[in-house]
Amino acid sequence: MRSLRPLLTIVVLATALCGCASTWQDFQGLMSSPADTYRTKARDLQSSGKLQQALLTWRVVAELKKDDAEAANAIQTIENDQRQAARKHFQQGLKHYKSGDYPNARRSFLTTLRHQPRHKKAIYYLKVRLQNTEQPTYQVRPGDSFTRIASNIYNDATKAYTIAYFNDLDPRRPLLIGTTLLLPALDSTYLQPRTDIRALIDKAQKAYEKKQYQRVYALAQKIENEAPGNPKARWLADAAHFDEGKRLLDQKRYLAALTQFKQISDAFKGRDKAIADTRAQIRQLAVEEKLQEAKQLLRANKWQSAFNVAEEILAHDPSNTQASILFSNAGYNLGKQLLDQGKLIQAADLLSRIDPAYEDTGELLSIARARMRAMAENHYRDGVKHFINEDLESAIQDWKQALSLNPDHPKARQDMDNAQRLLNKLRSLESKQ
Amino acid sequence: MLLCILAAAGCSGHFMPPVGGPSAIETNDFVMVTAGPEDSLVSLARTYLNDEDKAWQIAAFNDIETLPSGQRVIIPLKPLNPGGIQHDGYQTVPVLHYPRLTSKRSTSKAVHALDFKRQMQYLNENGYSTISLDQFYAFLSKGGELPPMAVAVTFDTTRSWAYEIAYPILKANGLTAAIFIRTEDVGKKGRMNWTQLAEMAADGMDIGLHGSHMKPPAKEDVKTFLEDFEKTLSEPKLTIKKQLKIPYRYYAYAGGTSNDLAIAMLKKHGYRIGFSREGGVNPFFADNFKIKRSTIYGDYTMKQYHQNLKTFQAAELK
Repeated sequence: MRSLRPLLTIVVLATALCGCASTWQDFQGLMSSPADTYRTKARDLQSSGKLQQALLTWRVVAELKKDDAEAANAIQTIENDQRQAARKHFQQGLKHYKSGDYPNARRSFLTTLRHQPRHKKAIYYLKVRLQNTEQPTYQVRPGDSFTRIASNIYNDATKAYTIAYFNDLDPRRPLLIGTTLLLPALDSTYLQPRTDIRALIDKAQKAYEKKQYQRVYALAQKIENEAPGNPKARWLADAAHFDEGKRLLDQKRYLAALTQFKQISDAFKGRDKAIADTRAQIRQLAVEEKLQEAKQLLRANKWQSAFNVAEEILAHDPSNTQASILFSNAGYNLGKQLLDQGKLIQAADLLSRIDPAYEDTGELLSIARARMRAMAENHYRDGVKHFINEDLESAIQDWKQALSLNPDHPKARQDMDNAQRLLNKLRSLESKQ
Repeated sequence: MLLCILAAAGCSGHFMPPVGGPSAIETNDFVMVTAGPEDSLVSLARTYLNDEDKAWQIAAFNDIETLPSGQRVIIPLKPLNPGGIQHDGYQTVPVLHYPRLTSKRSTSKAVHALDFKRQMQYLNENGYSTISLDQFYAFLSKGGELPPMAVAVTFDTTRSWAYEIAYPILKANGLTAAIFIRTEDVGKKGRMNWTQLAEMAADGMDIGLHGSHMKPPAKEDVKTFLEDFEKTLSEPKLTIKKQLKIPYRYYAYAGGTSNDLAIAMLKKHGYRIGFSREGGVNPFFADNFKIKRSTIYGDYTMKQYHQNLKTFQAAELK
């Protein structure tokens, strides 16, 4: 049994060291004094930059081992280093603050506090001066009081206590010369509570859901005034204009709908298509109105006017069947009328533009052209008579008319050209004599 | 003897400085004690720091999560890291503002009870600590320390949902919140009553004042406006002191925005913090009367929610 004791000791030791959660460092800790344990911790904290924790831990070491030179030295070193670092960073902070470099001023003051957590001036700059860089300030001079400052600054002595409270000062106590006071904005316009944008957006959203579009526009405008460019407000206004535009489209109030769509932001999805569709609808409406007008004119036998309106519709919409029919109808009747009036050229010109299959258009056109050819022949003969009588000018006029009625007349052009040359020659001789 | 020490160390699961040194040392800077069987981090914080909420400071300094009997611990008596300043940045406190909770599905911006529950569970399970407004005030004004992932939850309402929906969920997750009420609405239909508010206050919920919208003053009538405004600050203080027997120090601005006059008046009437609804988080050097809050809406995803929980601002502070 006695021989087993060393083996048993080893087994227990091994179990204690390996079987449980403890580590070798723990074991070392167990073998060292409390002061040494905290010394190790203090060194670790110091090297990892946790200086306040390191300082406290060194103090624990110093308390546990009163004459510990390393602890005393470490405490003195950290305290001195902290003081010096705090002083340096605070001065840097002041420099940055005075030059208006507020981000770096803030960083320097915070670094000051990392080294000296209770540095009052650094706290003051961080909490007061850097929080209120836009706030006007006033430096207290000899003879100043809150009342006097209030009278001078606000022309209102009753605001004295407001300045005091705003600066966390007791209005009953005298002011210290050199104190920097923040001057609160006390104009009545500043007393109006600023509008809560989110609340306004919620209201606008609800109004939109209830289709209260006018309210949406008013709220969106209010938000725009308070917070220009708010995307949600813009979207709500756009959506309201879009929905209202569609509602107006359903009521066939196209121009009103177009006005709504045009107020939507360019980027709003569906805007361009809505505008294009509405414009198409407006054009269609205009066409229908014109068709009605043409029909009325046709019923009143105002062929020319009806023809002009139908022609106008077809100019914008060549495939419009109703307009084509009206065009043919009016043109046919007008052509017939012109033919009856002997206005052959106009009648033929008109009838040639109409579908020859419409009524007896083709036949009328043939009649008109036949009459034009016959008249052309008559003019040609008159021209020949004038030529024989040496009246060249009258001959040329007749042949011109013959050609206007029948541009393909086989002789009129040649005879006219010859007569013109002769006439020119005669005039030339006369001028030489 | 060695075996006994090893056995004791091996089973604790923690590093434990050796027993045998002084059992309690007290200086101006720290107290060193060896925990007895009845001790806990909370009890030590209560005994030595007069504040159970500071138990985390003892745990953090000693790098422990629990306190086994026989454990020797150092209790720092002064904040070691006021404002949570580190060499690589500083602490920020998110203050969440819930405009409304609902148990019904709706298209509005109200947060559904289930989402709120999920969000509170997220805080609870991910190391966040909800703080009281007194703790927040100490952090802002008195060099107080906060747990590294401190967050405040707030409601600007007197409506019953704060008691019926928010309170049970907060309680179940061991969290606290601040409720800013309008005293004139207490007890009205659909609003909380004083008994409910007292119950919540007793459970650690903060009760503050929610400012009332006031008609903007005509230029010539600023004096009357100021008098009326001061009444809205002073009268609710008396009411709540009478009803709940607690001081009334925290204020949420009507509409979420402040002005210099309101700030001066709040200071005059002893208020400590003014909460705005301007988005953002708060470092210790934030203006107490312009505290930023992140409003949480019903359509937020957990990712969006998490984006409002920034507890550290990186900065090189060497």
